[in-house]
Amino acid sequence: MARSVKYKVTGQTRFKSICTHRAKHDRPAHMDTQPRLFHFIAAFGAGGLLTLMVLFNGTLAVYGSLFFASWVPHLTGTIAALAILLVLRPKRAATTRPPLWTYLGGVSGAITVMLTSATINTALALSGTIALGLAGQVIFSLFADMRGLFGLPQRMPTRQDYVSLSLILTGSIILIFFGGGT
Amino acid sequence: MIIFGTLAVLAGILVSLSRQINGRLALSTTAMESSFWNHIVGLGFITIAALIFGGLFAGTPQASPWWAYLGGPIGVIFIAAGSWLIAKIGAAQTAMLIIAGQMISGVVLDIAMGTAGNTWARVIGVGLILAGMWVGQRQAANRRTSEGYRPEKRCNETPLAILGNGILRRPMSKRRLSQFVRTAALRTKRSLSYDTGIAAMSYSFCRSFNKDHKSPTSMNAFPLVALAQWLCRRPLSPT
Repeated sequence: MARSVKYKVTGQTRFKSICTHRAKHDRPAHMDTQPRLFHFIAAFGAGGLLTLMVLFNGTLAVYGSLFFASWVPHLTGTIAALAILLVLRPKRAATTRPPLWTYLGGVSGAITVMLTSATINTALALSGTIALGLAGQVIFSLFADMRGLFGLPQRMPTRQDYVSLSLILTGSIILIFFGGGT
Repeated sequence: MIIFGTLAVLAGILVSLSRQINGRLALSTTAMESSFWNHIVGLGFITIAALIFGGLFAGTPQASPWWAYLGGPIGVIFIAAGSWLIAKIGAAQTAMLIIAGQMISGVVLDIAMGTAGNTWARVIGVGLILAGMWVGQRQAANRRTSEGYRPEKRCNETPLAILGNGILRRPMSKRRLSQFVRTAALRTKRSLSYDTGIAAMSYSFCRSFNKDHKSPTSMNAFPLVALAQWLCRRPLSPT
Protein backbone atom coordinates (compact mmCIF):
# COMPACT_ATOMS: atom_id res chain seq x y z
CA MET A 1 0.00 0.00 0.00
CA ALA A 2 2.70 2.41 1.10
CA ARG A 3 4.75 1.41 -1.89
CA SER A 4 2.01 2.15 -4.39
CA VAL A 5 1.49 5.58 -2.85
CA LYS A 6 5.20 6.25 -3.13
CA TYR A 7 5.17 5.27 -6.79
CA LYS A 8 2.23 7.50 -7.43
CA VAL A 9 4.00 10.46 -5.86
CA THR A 10 7.22 9.94 -7.78
CA GLY A 11 5.22 9.55 -10.96
CA GLN A 12 3.51 12.85 -10.36
CA THR A 13 6.68 14.73 -9.56
CA ARG A 14 8.31 13.31 -12.64
CA PHE A 15 5.40 14.40 -14.79
CA LYS A 16 5.55 17.86 -13.23
CA SER A 17 9.27 18.18 -13.91
CA ILE A 18 8.68 17.26 -17.56
CA CYS A 19 6.00 19.92 -17.79
CA THR A 20 8.13 22.68 -16.32
CA HIS A 21 11.02 21.59 -18.51
CA ARG A 22 8.88 21.88 -21.62
CA ALA A 23 7.45 25.21 -20.54
CA LYS A 24 10.97 26.52 -20.06
CA HIS A 25 11.90 25.49 -23.58
CA ASP A 26 8.75 26.73 -25.24
CA ARG A 27 8.60 30.18 -23.66
CA PRO A 28 11.24 32.33 -22.04
CA ALA A 29 10.24 33.70 -18.65
CA HIS A 30 9.91 37.34 -19.70
CA MET A 31 7.40 36.53 -22.40
CA ASP A 32 4.60 34.35 -21.14
CA THR A 33 2.29 33.64 -24.05
CA GLN A 34 -0.18 31.56 -22.06
CA PRO A 35 -3.53 33.38 -22.15
CA ARG A 36 -5.08 34.27 -18.81
CA LEU A 37 -8.62 35.22 -17.92
CA PHE A 38 -7.77 38.84 -17.21
CA HIS A 39 -6.31 39.21 -20.70
CA PHE A 40 -9.69 38.16 -22.06
CA ILE A 41 -11.53 40.60 -19.80
CA ALA A 42 -9.13 43.41 -20.73
CA ALA A 43 -9.62 42.78 -24.46
CA PHE A 44 -13.40 42.73 -24.00
CA GLY A 45 -13.20 46.00 -22.06
CA ALA A 46 -11.05 47.51 -24.82
CA GLY A 47 -13.91 46.75 -27.21
CA GLY A 48 -16.20 48.76 -24.91
CA LEU A 49 -13.70 51.65 -25.06
CA LEU A 50 -13.84 51.44 -28.85
CA THR A 51 -17.62 51.97 -28.78
CA LEU A 52 -17.16 55.14 -26.70
CA MET A 53 -14.42 56.28 -29.09
CA VAL A 54 -16.68 55.79 -32.11
CA LEU A 55 -19.46 57.71 -30.34
CA PHE A 56 -17.23 60.67 -29.41
CA ASN A 57 -15.41 60.85 -32.75
CA GLY A 58 -18.71 60.45 -34.58
CA THR A 59 -20.07 63.45 -32.64
CA LEU A 60 -17.04 65.47 -33.78
CA ALA A 61 -17.74 64.42 -37.37
CA VAL A 62 -21.31 65.75 -37.08
CA TYR A 63 -20.04 69.27 -36.34
CA GLY A 64 -16.72 69.30 -38.24
CA SER A 65 -15.19 67.53 -41.26
CA LEU A 66 -14.01 63.90 -41.29
CA PHE A 67 -10.41 65.15 -41.22
CA PHE A 68 -11.23 67.14 -38.09
CA ALA A 69 -12.88 64.11 -36.47
CA SER A 70 -9.68 62.07 -36.80
CA TRP A 71 -7.18 64.92 -36.39
CA VAL A 72 -8.49 66.11 -33.00
CA PRO A 73 -8.45 62.66 -31.28
CA HIS A 74 -4.88 62.14 -32.51
CA LEU A 75 -3.87 65.56 -31.12
CA THR A 76 -5.55 65.13 -27.73
CA GLY A 77 -4.34 61.52 -27.65
CA THR A 78 -0.72 62.56 -28.23
CA ILE A 79 -0.97 65.08 -25.37
CA ALA A 80 -2.63 62.53 -23.06
CA ALA A 81 -0.05 59.82 -23.87
CA LEU A 82 2.81 62.27 -23.29
CA ALA A 83 1.31 63.26 -19.93
CA ILE A 84 0.90 59.61 -18.89
CA LEU A 85 4.47 58.80 -19.95
CA LEU A 86 5.87 61.78 -18.04
CA VAL A 87 3.96 60.90 -14.87
CA LEU A 88 4.39 57.12 -14.84
CA ARG A 89 7.79 56.84 -16.62
CA PRO A 90 7.42 53.13 -17.47
CA LYS A 91 10.62 51.15 -17.80
CA ARG A 92 11.56 49.95 -21.28
CA ALA A 93 11.60 46.19 -21.85
CA ALA A 94 14.82 46.17 -23.90
CA THR A 95 17.90 48.32 -24.17
CA THR A 96 18.35 47.65 -27.90
CA ARG A 97 16.60 50.07 -30.22
CA PRO A 98 13.59 48.73 -32.09
CA PRO A 99 13.71 48.86 -35.92
CA LEU A 100 12.37 52.06 -37.48
CA TRP A 101 9.37 50.44 -39.19
CA THR A 102 7.83 49.66 -35.80
CA TYR A 103 7.09 53.39 -35.40
CA LEU A 104 4.84 53.38 -38.49
CA GLY A 105 1.76 51.77 -36.87
CA GLY A 106 0.09 55.18 -36.74
CA VAL A 107 0.27 55.63 -40.53
CA SER A 108 -1.63 52.40 -41.02
CA GLY A 109 -4.26 53.56 -38.51
CA ALA A 110 -4.62 56.96 -40.23
CA ILE A 111 -5.05 55.36 -43.68
CA THR A 112 -7.80 53.18 -42.17
CA VAL A 113 -9.77 56.30 -41.19
CA MET A 114 -9.52 57.64 -44.74
CA LEU A 115 -10.51 54.34 -46.35
CA THR A 116 -13.58 53.89 -44.13
CA SER A 117 -14.72 57.47 -44.66
CA ALA A 118 -14.44 56.83 -48.42
CA THR A 119 -16.52 53.62 -48.36
CA ILE A 120 -19.20 54.76 -45.88
CA ASN A 121 -20.76 57.09 -48.46
CA THR A 122 -21.09 54.38 -51.14
CA ALA A 123 -23.66 51.58 -51.53
CA LEU A 124 -21.79 49.63 -48.82
CA ALA A 125 -23.00 52.13 -46.18
CA LEU A 126 -21.89 51.89 -42.57
CA SER A 127 -22.97 48.30 -41.93
CA GLY A 128 -21.31 46.92 -45.07
CA THR A 129 -18.09 48.79 -44.32
CA ILE A 130 -18.01 47.46 -40.75
CA ALA A 131 -18.84 43.86 -41.78
CA LEU A 132 -16.19 43.70 -44.53
CA GLY A 133 -13.68 45.39 -42.22
CA LEU A 134 -14.28 42.75 -39.54
CA ALA A 135 -13.75 39.99 -42.12
CA GLY A 136 -10.47 41.52 -43.32
CA GLN A 137 -9.27 42.06 -39.77
CA VAL A 138 -10.00 38.49 -38.65
CA ILE A 139 -8.51 36.80 -41.73
CA PHE A 140 -5.31 38.84 -41.60
CA SER A 141 -5.01 38.27 -37.82
CA LEU A 142 -5.28 34.51 -38.31
CA PHE A 143 -2.63 34.60 -41.05
CA ALA A 144 -0.31 36.72 -38.90
CA ASP A 145 -0.77 34.37 -35.93
CA MET A 146 0.02 31.29 -38.01
CA ARG A 147 3.16 32.82 -39.45
CA GLY A 148 4.30 34.80 -36.41
CA LEU A 149 4.62 37.95 -38.55
CA PHE A 150 6.50 41.06 -37.33
CA GLY A 151 8.42 39.20 -34.62
CA LEU A 152 5.30 38.52 -32.56
CA PRO A 153 4.78 35.08 -31.00
CA GLN A 154 3.56 32.50 -33.47
CA ARG A 155 0.37 30.69 -32.52
CA MET A 156 -1.36 27.95 -34.44
CA PRO A 157 -5.14 28.46 -34.08
CA THR A 158 -6.98 25.46 -32.65
CA ARG A 159 -10.37 24.09 -33.68
CA GLN A 160 -11.84 25.87 -30.63
CA ASP A 161 -10.53 29.16 -31.97
CA TYR A 162 -12.26 28.65 -35.32
CA VAL A 163 -15.56 27.72 -33.64
CA SER A 164 -15.39 30.73 -31.33
CA LEU A 165 -14.40 32.98 -34.24
CA SER A 166 -17.32 31.94 -36.42
CA LEU A 167 -19.81 32.30 -33.53
CA ILE A 168 -18.62 35.83 -32.75
CA LEU A 169 -18.59 36.83 -36.44
CA THR A 170 -22.10 35.45 -37.03
CA GLY A 171 -23.40 37.27 -33.96
CA SER A 172 -21.73 40.49 -35.10
CA ILE A 173 -23.15 40.24 -38.63
CA ILE A 174 -26.66 39.71 -37.19
CA LEU A 175 -26.25 42.75 -34.92
CA ILE A 176 -24.84 44.91 -37.73
CA PHE A 177 -27.52 44.15 -40.32
CA PHE A 178 -30.63 43.43 -38.19
CA GLY A 179 -29.93 44.93 -34.76
CA GLY A 180 -30.55 48.53 -35.81
CA GLY A 181 -28.93 51.56 -34.20
CA THR A 182 -25.14 51.95 -34.40
CA MET B 1 -18.70 48.32 -56.00
CA ILE B 2 -15.99 45.64 -56.02
CA ILE B 3 -13.39 48.38 -55.61
CA PHE B 4 -15.14 49.82 -52.55
CA GLY B 5 -15.62 46.33 -51.09
CA THR B 6 -11.90 45.70 -51.48
CA LEU B 7 -11.15 49.03 -49.83
CA ALA B 8 -13.38 48.11 -46.87
CA VAL B 9 -11.57 44.76 -46.45
CA LEU B 10 -8.23 46.57 -46.78
CA ALA B 11 -9.30 48.92 -43.98
CA GLY B 12 -9.84 45.91 -41.72
CA ILE B 13 -6.45 44.46 -42.67
CA LEU B 14 -4.80 47.80 -41.87
CA VAL B 15 -6.44 47.84 -38.41
CA SER B 16 -4.87 44.47 -37.68
CA LEU B 17 -1.55 45.50 -39.26
CA SER B 18 -1.39 48.63 -37.14
CA ARG B 19 -2.03 46.61 -33.98
CA GLN B 20 0.72 44.13 -34.88
CA ILE B 21 3.30 46.84 -35.60
CA ASN B 22 2.39 48.62 -32.36
CA GLY B 23 2.60 45.30 -30.54
CA ARG B 24 6.10 44.74 -31.89
CA LEU B 25 7.14 48.23 -30.73
CA ALA B 26 5.65 47.49 -27.30
CA LEU B 27 7.87 44.38 -27.06
CA SER B 28 10.97 46.58 -27.28
CA THR B 29 9.61 49.55 -25.33
CA THR B 30 6.33 49.73 -23.40
CA ALA B 31 2.67 49.56 -24.40
CA MET B 32 2.14 53.22 -23.46
CA GLU B 33 5.14 54.42 -25.45
CA SER B 34 3.91 52.41 -28.42
CA SER B 35 0.53 54.17 -28.07
CA PHE B 36 2.28 57.56 -27.94
CA TRP B 37 4.22 56.89 -31.18
CA ASN B 38 1.08 55.60 -32.86
CA HIS B 39 -0.72 58.86 -32.06
CA ILE B 40 2.06 61.30 -32.90
CA VAL B 41 2.95 59.60 -36.20
CA GLY B 42 -0.75 59.38 -37.10
CA LEU B 43 -1.17 63.06 -36.22
CA GLY B 44 1.67 64.01 -38.53
CA PHE B 45 0.28 61.87 -41.34
CA ILE B 46 -3.25 63.31 -41.04
CA THR B 47 -1.88 66.86 -40.84
CA ILE B 48 0.02 66.36 -44.11
CA ALA B 49 -3.04 64.77 -45.75
CA ALA B 50 -5.27 67.63 -44.52
CA LEU B 51 -2.82 70.22 -45.89
CA ILE B 52 -2.90 68.48 -49.28
CA PHE B 53 -6.68 67.93 -49.50
CA GLY B 54 -7.74 70.93 -47.36
CA GLY B 55 -10.96 71.36 -45.40
CA LEU B 56 -9.65 70.50 -41.94
CA PHE B 57 -11.72 73.18 -40.18
CA ALA B 58 -14.77 73.02 -42.45
CA GLY B 59 -18.21 73.14 -40.82
CA THR B 60 -18.69 74.40 -37.27
CA PRO B 61 -16.19 72.35 -35.21
CA GLN B 62 -16.28 74.89 -32.32
CA ALA B 63 -19.96 74.02 -31.76
CA SER B 64 -19.19 70.39 -30.79
CA PRO B 65 -19.75 69.51 -27.11
CA TRP B 66 -16.73 69.29 -24.80
CA TRP B 67 -17.09 65.56 -24.11
CA ALA B 68 -16.62 64.75 -27.80
CA TYR B 69 -12.92 65.60 -27.30
CA LEU B 70 -12.52 62.68 -24.87
CA GLY B 71 -12.12 60.26 -27.82
CA GLY B 72 -8.36 60.97 -27.89
CA PRO B 73 -7.46 59.97 -24.31
CA ILE B 74 -9.71 56.89 -24.59
CA GLY B 75 -7.91 56.00 -27.82
CA VAL B 76 -4.56 56.13 -26.01
CA ILE B 77 -5.75 53.49 -23.52
CA PHE B 78 -7.28 51.46 -26.36
CA ILE B 79 -4.10 51.37 -28.47
CA ALA B 80 -1.94 50.63 -25.42
CA ALA B 81 -4.24 47.76 -24.42
CA GLY B 82 -4.17 46.35 -27.96
CA SER B 83 -0.37 46.42 -28.22
CA TRP B 84 -0.03 44.81 -24.79
CA LEU B 85 -2.59 42.07 -25.48
CA ILE B 86 -1.47 41.05 -28.96
CA ALA B 87 1.77 39.51 -27.64
CA LYS B 88 -0.13 37.79 -24.83
CA ILE B 89 -3.18 36.23 -26.50
CA GLY B 90 -2.35 36.58 -30.21
CA ALA B 91 -3.69 38.78 -33.00
CA ALA B 92 -6.78 36.68 -33.79
CA GLN B 93 -8.03 36.44 -30.22
CA THR B 94 -7.32 40.10 -29.53
CA ALA B 95 -9.32 41.10 -32.61
CA MET B 96 -12.12 38.68 -31.74
CA LEU B 97 -12.56 39.86 -28.16
CA ILE B 98 -12.36 43.54 -29.09
CA ILE B 99 -15.07 42.93 -31.72
CA ALA B 100 -17.18 41.09 -29.12
CA GLY B 101 -16.76 43.90 -26.60
CA GLN B 102 -17.57 46.54 -29.19
CA MET B 103 -20.71 44.79 -30.40
CA ILE B 104 -22.14 44.03 -26.95
CA SER B 105 -21.38 47.48 -25.52
CA GLY B 106 -22.91 48.96 -28.70
CA VAL B 107 -26.15 47.12 -27.98
CA VAL B 108 -26.06 48.30 -24.35
CA LEU B 109 -25.47 51.88 -25.53
CA ASP B 110 -28.33 51.63 -28.06
CA ILE B 111 -30.73 50.40 -25.36
CA ALA B 112 -29.55 53.10 -22.92
CA MET B 113 -30.06 55.82 -25.53
CA GLY B 114 -33.41 54.36 -26.58
CA THR B 115 -32.43 53.70 -30.21
CA ALA B 116 -35.03 51.63 -32.05
CA GLY B 117 -33.96 48.15 -33.07
CA ASN B 118 -35.04 44.55 -33.54
CA THR B 119 -35.08 42.96 -30.06
CA TRP B 120 -34.85 39.39 -31.38
CA ALA B 121 -31.85 40.15 -33.57
CA ARG B 122 -30.16 41.76 -30.56
CA VAL B 123 -30.85 38.76 -28.30
CA ILE B 124 -29.62 36.22 -30.89
CA GLY B 125 -26.58 38.30 -31.84
CA VAL B 126 -25.46 38.90 -28.25
CA GLY B 127 -26.14 35.23 -27.38
CA LEU B 128 -23.96 34.00 -30.26
CA ILE B 129 -21.15 36.38 -29.32
CA LEU B 130 -21.26 35.29 -25.66
CA ALA B 131 -21.22 31.62 -26.74
CA GLY B 132 -18.22 32.32 -28.97
CA MET B 133 -16.37 34.00 -26.12
CA TRP B 134 -17.13 31.08 -23.82
CA VAL B 135 -15.70 28.62 -26.35
CA GLY B 136 -12.61 30.77 -26.98
CA GLN B 137 -11.99 31.28 -23.28
CA ARG B 138 -11.56 27.57 -22.62
CA GLN B 139 -7.85 27.20 -23.08
CA ALA B 140 -6.47 24.73 -25.53
CA ALA B 141 -3.67 22.92 -23.71
CA ASN B 142 -2.04 21.63 -26.88
CA ARG B 143 -1.80 24.99 -28.63
CA ARG B 144 1.42 25.19 -30.52
CA THR B 145 3.22 28.45 -29.89
CA SER B 146 6.74 29.69 -30.38
CA GLU B 147 8.33 32.78 -28.93
CA GLY B 148 8.63 35.89 -31.06
CA TYR B 149 11.26 38.60 -30.90
CA ARG B 150 13.72 38.10 -28.08
CA PRO B 151 15.66 41.14 -26.87
CA GLU B 152 18.68 39.08 -25.85
CA LYS B 153 19.06 37.66 -29.36
CA ARG B 154 19.41 40.36 -31.97
CA CYS B 155 17.34 39.37 -34.96
CA ASN B 156 17.85 40.68 -38.45
CA GLU B 157 14.68 42.70 -38.89
CA THR B 158 14.95 44.11 -42.39
CA PRO B 159 11.71 43.78 -44.37
CA LEU B 160 13.16 40.95 -46.47
CA ALA B 161 14.23 38.98 -43.41
CA ILE B 162 10.80 39.54 -41.86
CA LEU B 163 9.20 38.09 -44.96
CA GLY B 164 11.64 35.18 -44.81
CA ASN B 165 10.90 34.68 -41.13
CA GLY B 166 7.21 34.62 -41.91
CA ILE B 167 7.77 31.88 -44.48
CA LEU B 168 10.25 29.97 -42.35
CA ARG B 169 8.04 30.45 -39.31
CA ARG B 170 10.97 31.23 -37.10
CA PRO B 171 12.89 34.42 -36.31
CA MET B 172 16.26 33.91 -37.92
CA SER B 173 19.51 35.77 -37.42
CA LYS B 174 21.51 36.89 -40.44
CA ARG B 175 24.27 34.45 -39.55
CA ARG B 176 21.90 31.54 -39.32
CA LEU B 177 20.26 32.47 -42.60
CA SER B 178 23.61 32.50 -44.43
CA GLN B 179 24.49 29.21 -42.73
CA PHE B 180 21.16 27.85 -43.92
CA VAL B 181 21.78 28.79 -47.54
CA ARG B 182 25.43 27.68 -47.46
CA THR B 183 24.62 24.22 -46.10
CA ALA B 184 21.89 23.88 -48.67
CA ALA B 185 24.31 24.81 -51.43
CA LEU B 186 26.92 22.34 -50.17
CA ARG B 187 24.41 19.55 -50.20
CA THR B 188 23.43 20.44 -53.73
CA LYS B 189 27.03 20.10 -54.89
CA ARG B 190 27.03 16.47 -53.91
CA SER B 191 24.02 15.58 -56.03
CA LEU B 192 24.60 13.97 -59.43
CA SER B 193 21.95 15.57 -61.58
CA TYR B 194 22.02 19.23 -60.81
CA ASP B 195 18.48 20.55 -61.21
CA THR B 196 16.61 17.49 -59.93
CA GLY B 197 19.21 17.35 -57.20
CA ILE B 198 18.30 20.89 -56.18
CA ALA B 199 14.67 19.93 -55.66
CA ALA B 200 15.44 16.69 -53.83
CA MET B 201 18.12 18.24 -51.64
CA SER B 202 15.99 21.25 -50.82
CA TYR B 203 13.26 18.92 -49.73
CA SER B 204 15.47 16.80 -47.49
CA PHE B 205 17.24 19.88 -46.18
CA CYS B 206 13.96 21.51 -45.15
CA ARG B 207 12.87 18.37 -43.41
CA SER B 208 16.08 18.01 -41.43
CA PHE B 209 16.19 21.73 -40.66
CA ASN B 210 12.66 21.79 -39.32
CA LYS B 211 13.37 18.67 -37.29
CA ASP B 212 16.55 20.16 -35.80
CA HIS B 213 14.89 23.43 -34.85
CA LYS B 214 11.58 21.98 -33.67
CA SER B 215 9.62 24.22 -36.00
CA PRO B 216 5.87 23.74 -35.49
CA THR B 217 5.24 23.02 -39.15
CA SER B 218 7.42 21.58 -41.86
CA MET B 219 8.08 22.18 -45.51
CA ASN B 220 6.98 25.77 -45.83
CA ALA B 221 10.53 26.84 -46.49
CA PHE B 222 10.87 24.43 -49.41
CA PRO B 223 10.16 26.88 -52.26
CA LEU B 224 12.47 29.46 -50.68
CA VAL B 225 15.36 27.02 -50.30
CA ALA B 226 14.85 25.68 -53.80
CA LEU B 227 14.97 29.24 -55.14
CA ALA B 228 18.04 30.08 -53.07
CA GLN B 229 19.85 27.01 -54.32
CA TRP B 230 18.87 27.67 -57.90
CA LEU B 231 20.18 31.23 -57.59
CA CYS B 232 23.46 29.98 -56.09
CA ARG B 233 24.17 27.50 -58.87
CA ARG B 234 27.81 27.98 -58.11
CA PRO B 235 27.76 26.87 -54.46
CA LEU B 236 29.09 29.28 -51.89
CA SER B 237 32.66 28.47 -50.85
CA PRO B 238 32.73 26.85 -47.42
CA THR B 239 34.90 29.05 -45.23
